[in-house]
Amino acid sequence: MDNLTKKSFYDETHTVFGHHESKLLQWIFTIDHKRIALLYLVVMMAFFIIAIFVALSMRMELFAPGQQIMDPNTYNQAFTLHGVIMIFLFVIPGIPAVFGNFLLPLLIGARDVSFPRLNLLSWWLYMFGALLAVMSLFVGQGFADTGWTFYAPYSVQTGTNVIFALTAAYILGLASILTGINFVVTVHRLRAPGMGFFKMPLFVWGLYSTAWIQILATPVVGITLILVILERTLGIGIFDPSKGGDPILYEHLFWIYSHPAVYLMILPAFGVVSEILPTFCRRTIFGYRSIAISSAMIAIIGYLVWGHHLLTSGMSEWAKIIFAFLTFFVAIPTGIKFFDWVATMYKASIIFATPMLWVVGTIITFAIGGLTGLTLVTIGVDVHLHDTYFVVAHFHYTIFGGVVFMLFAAMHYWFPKFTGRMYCERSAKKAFYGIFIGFNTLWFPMFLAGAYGMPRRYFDYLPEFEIYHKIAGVGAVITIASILYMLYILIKAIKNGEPCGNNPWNSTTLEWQISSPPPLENFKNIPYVDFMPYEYEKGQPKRDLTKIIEGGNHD
Amino acid sequence: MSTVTHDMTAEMYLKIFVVLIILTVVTFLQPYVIPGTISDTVVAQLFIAVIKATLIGSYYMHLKYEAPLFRYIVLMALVVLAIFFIITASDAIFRNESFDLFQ
Amino acid sequence: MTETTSPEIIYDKEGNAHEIVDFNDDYTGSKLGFWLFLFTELMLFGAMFLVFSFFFYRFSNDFVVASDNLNLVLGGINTIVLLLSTYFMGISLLSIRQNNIEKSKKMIYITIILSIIFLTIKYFEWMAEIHHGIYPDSQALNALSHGEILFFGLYFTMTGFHGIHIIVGIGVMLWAVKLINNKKITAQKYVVLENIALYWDIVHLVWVFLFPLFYMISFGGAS
Repeated sequence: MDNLTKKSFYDETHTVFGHHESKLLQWIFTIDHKRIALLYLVVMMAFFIIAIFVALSMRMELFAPGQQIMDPNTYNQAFTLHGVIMIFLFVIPGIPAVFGNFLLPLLIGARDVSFPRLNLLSWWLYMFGALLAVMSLFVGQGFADTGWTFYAPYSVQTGTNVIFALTAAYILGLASILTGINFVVTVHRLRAPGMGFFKMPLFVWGLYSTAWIQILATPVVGITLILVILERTLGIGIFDPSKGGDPILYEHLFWIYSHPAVYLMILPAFGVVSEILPTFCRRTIFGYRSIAISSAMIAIIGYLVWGHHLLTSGMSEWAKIIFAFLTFFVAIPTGIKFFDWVATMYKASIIFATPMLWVVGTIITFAIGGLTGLTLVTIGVDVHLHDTYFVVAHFHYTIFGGVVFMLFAAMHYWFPKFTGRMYCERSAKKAFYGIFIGFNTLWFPMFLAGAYGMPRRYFDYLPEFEIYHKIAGVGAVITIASILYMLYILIKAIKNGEPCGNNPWNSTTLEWQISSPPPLENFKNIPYVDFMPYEYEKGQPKRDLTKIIEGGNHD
Repeated sequence: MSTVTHDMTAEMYLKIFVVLIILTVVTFLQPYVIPGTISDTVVAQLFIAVIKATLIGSYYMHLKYEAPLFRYIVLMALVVLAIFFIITASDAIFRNESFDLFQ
Repeated sequence: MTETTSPEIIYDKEGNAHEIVDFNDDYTGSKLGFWLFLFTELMLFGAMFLVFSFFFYRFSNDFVVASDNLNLVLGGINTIVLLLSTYFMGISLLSIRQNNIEKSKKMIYITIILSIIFLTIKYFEWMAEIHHGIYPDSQALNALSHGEILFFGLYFTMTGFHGIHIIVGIGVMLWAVKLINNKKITAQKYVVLENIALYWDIVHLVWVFLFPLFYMISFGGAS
């Protein structure tokens, strides 16, 4: 059956009101989860590219000591812009907004999410927040210069467009909350009959844990940002020491969300690893239950550790000890996942297709990132390393080397499902190696620079640090060029790729049992699921559900 | 479609309402019955407030009659909030105390 | 989409029938989703109570002194008013389920009137403070002690947010009446009204904690 002539979700859709002739309106008013996922993907990637060029301009400025291409105030705005776009417009929507939206219903055997119109509203709120952030670049004193963390009292006093940025972040938070609500209810209500919680694919576990964090943590930063706006406009006083207020309280409130936020970023990424590994190791995942439970544990313990961002802020000693201890503790479920993954690969007949390469790359880079996190949370060591390039390297190794690498892996793994075509494997592998090499050239020197004392967010530096910045600058160019090359390959393959069937990777999960690209309502017949998600026998999927799903009822 | 049974009757709404009114009166009388320091007053007031909240949650918000899932997730949200309070308190209370463990 | 679709049934290996949940008509799902939204409200007000507790601990005596400025009688009346309104909201929900459409609407109207009374009293309370020169960043307020400045800052912020939620609630209740008139809320499909009642209960719950912490602490310390 030639998939390219079958009707797919590209040909027909449901919209939120009325019927539209215009193709554009059919896209921006769609309530089909698959189209909404693609709407997110296009806008997110556009912002990603903008943000990496902002970063490139920062690297160019820092290529040598002294001023190169921008003045110090502009530099502050640059790193704020880079952070705000990357965090709020790219990584937090991230994998859930694109791959969660597209795949969650498919993985659990549903026809859509529980609240399709709320899903569309999420995207519109995302666009609105993005618009506000962009607008603030061009009015008044320009974009905020506080860093993406908006610490009081500077965020209360500076003349740049902080209120714009805070309002944008608040609205983006609303979009995130709605996605979270949608996913929790979908997982509870729309699983195919027979699919208990411990028969769900592990990506679903990751999305479910993430959704809870989106619901419970985001409102805290929402109200915090509003409080800063009230401080700026009304002078309430809660972060102002001259009125008895406490800036450290701001840090508490901000990080009560922002730390769980990074687990919100990484849990879906871990879920992607757990999907890709069984497919390319041709065997079931090792320790399914422990990986599932560890997702929930990371989400829960992640609520307890925010203070490790405040270890040098002037917090009480007791608080520091509690937070450091709990942070060491949260590394344990993550470690369990890593051991399970390595055990899955051990003695397996591994196919090193591009998605698998990305997974192996992440296992290396996230391990480095995660372990350096433990270095940072050792209280005495943090006194030396806090606010240095060591921190910058740590979070780029975890966020870029963990989350974004897995976003790239997911883009390659599910590309055939989204488009019905395959990309050029050789070129994609070249892009991976380019990015991997560029990534390590860019950020590994920063561990050293930070340990030797190079502060972060600094416009200028002493000559002894110049060599690290130069190496990083070269790494930045390699990384960005390779990312653009990777995107070019994928975009080219949308039109020119080799047509592939339903299941080019010969995988077992439900999304591969329907056509590529999927039809509008996903499954003709929803199957009864009384089996585990990754069952392989002698390297082949144990069962073929296509007949059930496409044809008559189970016989 | 509706396999859900509803056990709240007009009578129950009224009964709970009366109890809540009584508790509100108790809120006002408390400082005269248990005069004391600020902490005593706060503890007593919060105690009454929590009882009111439990009644409102169980009956008016129907949690007593809902599937266990609803009770679990409400509990979970409250636990998360409690955690924020408890750990922040460890900073608020001990902020300026020196730590002499490693004398 | 068609109005009533017959449920989708699939069969397992033993031939048992299983119904597929239709996400367009999912009573439990709608209620679950709304509870999750209520958690965001819990966290929002919870974070503000966290800020309040933080400073109450630090400036206990100043908070007690400042609390004395608030009018206990008005606060008490508002407490009763809000409690009454949740009672009527509950009866409204009961009435729609018993197909008593007119009573259900009447109960909603009473709830709205009580809410407006609440807001009016709150307005007078705010005006009383403002006429004394007490409002955020005012000269009179900034001259007071740190604890008092923060108490009033938090007072206006938290009761302000609470008031906004009441105003939104009134709007949503008016919308509910419209839905009842258009037969979108009926004795069989009432989850929207049930969710609105839940929202109203949360608004009341916030006040159950706001009132003692802002008004009743004035009794603390001296007897």
